[in-house]
Amino acid sequence: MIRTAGLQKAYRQAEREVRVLEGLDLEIRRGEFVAIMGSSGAGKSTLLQLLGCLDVPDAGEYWLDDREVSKLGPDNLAEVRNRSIGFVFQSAHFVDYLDLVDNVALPAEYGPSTDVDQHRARAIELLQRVGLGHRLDHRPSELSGGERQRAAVARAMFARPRLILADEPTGNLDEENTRQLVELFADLHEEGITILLVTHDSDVAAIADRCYRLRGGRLENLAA
Amino acid sequence: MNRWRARVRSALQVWRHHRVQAVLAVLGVVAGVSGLVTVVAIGEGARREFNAAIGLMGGGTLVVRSSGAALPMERVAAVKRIFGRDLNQVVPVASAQTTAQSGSARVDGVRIVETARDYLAAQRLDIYDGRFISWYDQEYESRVCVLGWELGRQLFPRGGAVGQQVRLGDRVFLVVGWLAPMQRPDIELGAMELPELDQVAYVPLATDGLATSRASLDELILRFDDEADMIRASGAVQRILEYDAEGTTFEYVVPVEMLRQKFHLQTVVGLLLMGTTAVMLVVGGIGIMNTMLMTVLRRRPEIGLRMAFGARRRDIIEQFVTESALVAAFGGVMGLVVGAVIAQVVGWQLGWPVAIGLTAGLSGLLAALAVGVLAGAYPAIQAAAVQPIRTLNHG
Repeated sequence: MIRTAGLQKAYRQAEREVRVLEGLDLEIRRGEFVAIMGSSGAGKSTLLQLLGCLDVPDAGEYWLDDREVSKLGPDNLAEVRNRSIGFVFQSAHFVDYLDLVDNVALPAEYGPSTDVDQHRARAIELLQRVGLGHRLDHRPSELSGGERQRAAVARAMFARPRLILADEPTGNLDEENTRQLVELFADLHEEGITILLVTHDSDVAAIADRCYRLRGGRLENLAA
Repeated sequence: MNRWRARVRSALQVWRHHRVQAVLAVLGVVAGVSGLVTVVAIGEGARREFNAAIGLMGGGTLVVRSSGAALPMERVAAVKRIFGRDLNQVVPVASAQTTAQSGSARVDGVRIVETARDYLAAQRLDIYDGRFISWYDQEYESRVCVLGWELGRQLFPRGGAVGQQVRLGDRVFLVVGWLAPMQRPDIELGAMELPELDQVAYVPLATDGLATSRASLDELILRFDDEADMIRASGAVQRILEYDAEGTTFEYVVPVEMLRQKFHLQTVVGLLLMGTTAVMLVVGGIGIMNTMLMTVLRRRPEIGLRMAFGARRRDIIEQFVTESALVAAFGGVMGLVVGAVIAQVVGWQLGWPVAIGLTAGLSGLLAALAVGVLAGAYPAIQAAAVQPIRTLNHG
């Protein structure tokens, strides 16, 4: 499903170049649930952003579903983000002037289908599934942190991607909300969706099939 | 089609959420567009009136008036010869005042105009009944006359003037024509006041111009093409008429030039307003652009988010252009209304003609839309040009 070879990424920070990823190799098979841990600043988020096509690597190859994503132009990358990948961010971003249903259906605005009713129906169905059926016409700002993360998962699922990338989704949540979200990811995994999850929390990482630690710009395999 | 409907719907949601910014942006556009509409309406009104007045007087008309001295007929012939085909008509005019009588009706102070058949066309008069003076009348010095509209009504209150007899001074004339009331431009022309052509009786001027009760001409109307350079033509005519003459000068009046001077003020004020309006439009444009810059800046996380879920750069740019174009179009339409009202008030206060036409409306709307599209496109292009993650996290 995912294969990277020699992935490199560096940032310029106050005249100094910070090398975050130094030739990272990773392979994830279809349907796998992989967790990546690591200390702050180790480059976990950077890796996830590269895999999610939100940023481009400085060097290296990135293959997604037999397609060399690292060679695609901006419009094709947008299409990959739209159809193949669902993203869950640490602090769930939403469009503040849209209600929850429209926010969850956001990927539809850039998808091939223009059937608005069908989009709304799917968004409502997903929101009900993540336990937000009573919040449909609320604004994102009216939700609690846990609700926002569950809505973000619903949005990530909207376009039926086979890959969901989650960047510390439980980072800002309490125990109960973390438990709910972890169960949600476990369910998605059951359904055969490939999940790559970045987390600080080893309890969260424990539900994954495999677990890596990112250190010094490379991945170390941890016993799951 | 569907995609644009979604864009517009989304843009409406945005502005509903950010009402204050929307109102401020709209106000900026309203100020610019209303100013533009006002200026164009005033300019257009002046232009139309100018054209209407020229239409009535003829763009290529030169009037030579004698002030005491007679207009020498042989010189008139020379003018005709020299200008040849460039000169469409030469209409000699001699006038006198007398009393007109028909039956019991009597009108004093009637202007008797001795002239030729071309006078009708040169002065752009219309026949109401009968005919005008003909070549035959001039050649044979027929005792016929044509009545102006007002004089005809005074002498023959029940109508039917043509075919009747009229006594002009001590001679009797047969009425062969009756002119329609004269169309006059609805403006004051100062020194170039059009002669009162309604209370007039026209009689044939003998072809040699001398076989009348008066031995000289008062006036000569020369008609060139409407596009002719009248300043040059007038100078040339003057040189011919006054060649080696001592102290006999005539008055040369070019109606078009009089009109130009008359409209000079409006032209100058129009230019000044145009400058002011340009400033207003720019200010309005800066206003909407500023609003859009702020909006885009504040919504950088939203841009990143949308891109993360598949928005292409084009989608982002389209979204913001739609938003700003919507505001601009709304402001533009409001500006049209406000501008139309201002133009009417200005026209009413200063007594200037205004014409709120297609030009004013379209130019206002187009200016607003152009400003709106630019204002939305520029910041959006900037924001959409980076990788999604930059806007997502560094908003």
